Amino acid sequence: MSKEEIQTWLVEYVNRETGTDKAKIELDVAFDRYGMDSSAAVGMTGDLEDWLSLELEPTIVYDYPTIAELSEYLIERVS
Amino acid sequence: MTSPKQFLKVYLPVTLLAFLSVMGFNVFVDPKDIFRVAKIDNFNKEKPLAYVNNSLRVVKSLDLENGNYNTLILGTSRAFYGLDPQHLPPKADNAYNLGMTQMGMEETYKIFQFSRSRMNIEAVVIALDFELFSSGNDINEDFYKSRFSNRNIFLSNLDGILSTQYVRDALETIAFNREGKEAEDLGFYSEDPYSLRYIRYRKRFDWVTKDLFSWSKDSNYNPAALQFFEDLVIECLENDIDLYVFIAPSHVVYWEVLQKTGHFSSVEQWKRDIIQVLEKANQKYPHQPQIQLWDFSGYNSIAMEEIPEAGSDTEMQWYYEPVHYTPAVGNLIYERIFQIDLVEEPIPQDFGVTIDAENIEAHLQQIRRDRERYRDNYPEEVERVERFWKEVQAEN
Amino acid sequence: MLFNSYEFIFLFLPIVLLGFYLLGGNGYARSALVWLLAASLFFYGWWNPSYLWLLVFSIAFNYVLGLILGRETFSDRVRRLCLVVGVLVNLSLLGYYKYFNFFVGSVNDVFGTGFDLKEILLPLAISFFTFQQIAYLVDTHRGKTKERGFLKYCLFVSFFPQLIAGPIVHYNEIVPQLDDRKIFKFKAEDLAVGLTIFTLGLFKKTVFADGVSDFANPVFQAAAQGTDLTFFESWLGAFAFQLQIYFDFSAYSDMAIGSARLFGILLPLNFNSPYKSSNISQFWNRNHMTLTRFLRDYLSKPTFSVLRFLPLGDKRHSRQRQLYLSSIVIMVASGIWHGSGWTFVVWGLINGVYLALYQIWRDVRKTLGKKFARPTRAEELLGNLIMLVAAVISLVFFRAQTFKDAIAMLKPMLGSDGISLPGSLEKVVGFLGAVGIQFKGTVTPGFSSLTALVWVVGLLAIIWFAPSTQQWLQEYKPALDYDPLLSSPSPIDRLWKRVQWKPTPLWGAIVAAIAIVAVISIRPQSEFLYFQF
Repeated sequence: MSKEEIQTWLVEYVNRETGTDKAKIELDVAFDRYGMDSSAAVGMTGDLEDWLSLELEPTIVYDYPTIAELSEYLIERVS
Repeated sequence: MTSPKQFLKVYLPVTLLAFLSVMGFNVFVDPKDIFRVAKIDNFNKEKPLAYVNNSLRVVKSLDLENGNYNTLILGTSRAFYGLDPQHLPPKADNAYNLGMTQMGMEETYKIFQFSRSRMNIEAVVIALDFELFSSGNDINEDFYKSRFSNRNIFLSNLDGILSTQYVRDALETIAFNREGKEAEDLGFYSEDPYSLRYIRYRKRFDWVTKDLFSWSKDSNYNPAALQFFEDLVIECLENDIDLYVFIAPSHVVYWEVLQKTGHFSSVEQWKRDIIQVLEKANQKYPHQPQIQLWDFSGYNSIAMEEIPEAGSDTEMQWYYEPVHYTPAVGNLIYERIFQIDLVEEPIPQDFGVTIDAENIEAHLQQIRRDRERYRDNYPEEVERVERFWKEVQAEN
Repeated sequence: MLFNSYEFIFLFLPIVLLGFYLLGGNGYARSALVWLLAASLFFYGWWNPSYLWLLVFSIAFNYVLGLILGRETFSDRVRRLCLVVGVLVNLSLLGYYKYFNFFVGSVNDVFGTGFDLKEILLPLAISFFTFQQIAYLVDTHRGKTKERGFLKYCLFVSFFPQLIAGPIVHYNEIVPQLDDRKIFKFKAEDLAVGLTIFTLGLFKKTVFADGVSDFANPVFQAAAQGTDLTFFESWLGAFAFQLQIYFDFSAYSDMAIGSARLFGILLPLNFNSPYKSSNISQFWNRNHMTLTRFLRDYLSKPTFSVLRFLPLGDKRHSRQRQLYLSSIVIMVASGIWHGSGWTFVVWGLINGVYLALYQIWRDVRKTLGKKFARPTRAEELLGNLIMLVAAVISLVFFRAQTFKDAIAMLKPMLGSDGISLPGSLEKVVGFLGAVGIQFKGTVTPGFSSLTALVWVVGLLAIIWFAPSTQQWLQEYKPALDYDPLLSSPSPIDRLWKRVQWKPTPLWGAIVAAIAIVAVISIRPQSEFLYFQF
């Protein structure tokens, strides 16, 4: 599992969730700026847990609000 | 082509010019009669709106500063709407009505002092009513924006100077002048103060009655105000100023209101206190003409004037509503106090008596008896007032 | 001093601006900041100088705590203790000034006790500077801020454009800008952009918000006085209030952002056309954005960490249910923050329930297999309408002074008196009488339902179709974090794009005309609604 893989997963997730063009999704812009509300964010945490087989705090997105920060954190947890 | 400098070169001068022109126009036409730059015939000389806005104190302080009067009428809005300075017998040629809305005794005294510092006052007529001595009538905000407190008029009265309302007032003033009409001066407002709002007589009477309830339940007799009255009396006596004092008339519905809110005994006490102040002053200056106290507030035929039916267009002759009497009543008061003939009809015998320490208790007794008679004769009116009281209580 | 007063527009703002650039432009950067601080304190003291000490104390107290929190040499224990004490002191000050009477009054009501209420005047802006500084303490404790001196800290809290009613800014948003030497050099673009944004805000306030309040106030007043309102006028009154508060707050946010921009300082976006959202969750992400952000960052997490010990079914479900519950808790807190009264609590509660309902709907939709299916255009429109009506109903509690008043408004809205339209419409749609609709007219004094209808419909059209101030100025960085690329453009937005604001003489004339209309519409004594909070 590489950081890039996680980032790609997240970009695709945001794209499907909010309909934002993949090209427009930037790594250092907060999730909520793309219209990801709290319920969506908590849902994403659940999907991340399934995908990565990890236990995550449901509010993880508040602490790591961008793709860059979140993937950084996740890669540390995975390895 | 975009350039922020070009944007500003248009934006700033255009807005600035527009605001300066609006302000210049409003200040020059001066519908509120505050800036007094120039008064031009057929343009802005007459100011029909001067006395109908909320800067009455500013206007009157300027009137007083610019004029030279020897006689003053003091009191609340009842004096303002009811006492014509031009009909006042002593020195009628040169009297000014200083009655203003929401006056208290402290403010009245301050205004009296202000006038004395500017001109030679020879006579004062003071119309006393209970409100002058009630808590809640503190010094008005408007007072502090006026020359009475020596404020710079220009800076303290720029509120709304750029507003469309001000422009409308200015245009109305010009139109009024173009028609060659004359506006009131001398501090007196002779017309029906409600005429602009077209509220017919019964409705407005009821409306003000309810208002009086709301006002009266939150205010109390404030005996501390007597001190200002005493100071004023002494100052008149000391300086050879003729002083005429009377308790203003009210429609009897007003006394019913004060009964309900529990202030009627305070009104009786207040009358006793006024007498005491006057007796004390009279004794202190035995060589001056003794000051009499007239009371017009009883259950006389004027005070019991019939209130028109709802929807009726019949005007009331003596009252605009329970507290504000018409200039016709003002003339009757003059007749009684100054023993003159202003009105053709004979003045009702029961209108106005002099009271003093000797007869006050009997006088108060008489009023209580008269009240019972009134309640027996007008059960519907009494019931109506009771209903309003319940409504006002329920609202809180 | 109000943003919509002559003294602010014609005296305060020009003088402060002139002083700032005279000092800053001649190399006295620090003096320029001192000047700005002095002006801000004067601005605050204009209302009630006696509360100035409270602001000064609050700033000094939090600054000192920040020094301790930011220093690694202190042990974790000490720093944690400082954080707890700091948050508690800030909340107790707010609690005392804002909620003492509410609390004591409620205790008296419930237990029949007779504790005296005190006459406490709410210090202006206390709700705002309290939150701003709590955020600072937490951020500093997390090591996210960098200390840049007392002067800049003071300005971060008290900078007059955002002091009274937001945006609730972060330390890291303001202080780095004050460090930047560039702001001291006068730039015509900042002045042009700032004046435009301020002008648009002033216009929204004096023309739209004040204008439509003429239809909200009499209706709510009549309801409070026990008048039995008709269906039509109660809805008009409620909509009028919704529009009033919308434009009032939108106006305030614009004027704050605009006047800060005159000094070359960018504030975060606070209001982003919330009624263009298609669901309530989006709405709260676009309405009073900096408050939502604060609640999310500093309240959601603690709430969630408590709620997660509450077992509500299996893991997945439990997590979603905890989320619903936390939404309700947070919106109730938002209600209490807005005002110390039970009506505000109910307003928050209703909005929390709205949010939870939306999240439930969303989760149900997901389990039905529409996991990533975007809502269709029709669904979005429907969502928008439902959200609008729901917001209008909840705002009745926000506006009404008491429950009794709120019920008096809501009953006719819900058709207690049947459904009735103004008498003037009988000629046009009289056939509706067949289905039980009456034509009873209105009972509110001085209320013309036709004029009210024109206002309400006209302003709703503006809310839906007009571009926001930021969209209009999007090429000139109208707010700190505004990114036009992120808002998905609707067809009508594309149309508006053609009339983008640009610093040209033509736009100078147009904006000047707007400014003239805005200023001559200023009413004496019209405060912003958000000043009470």
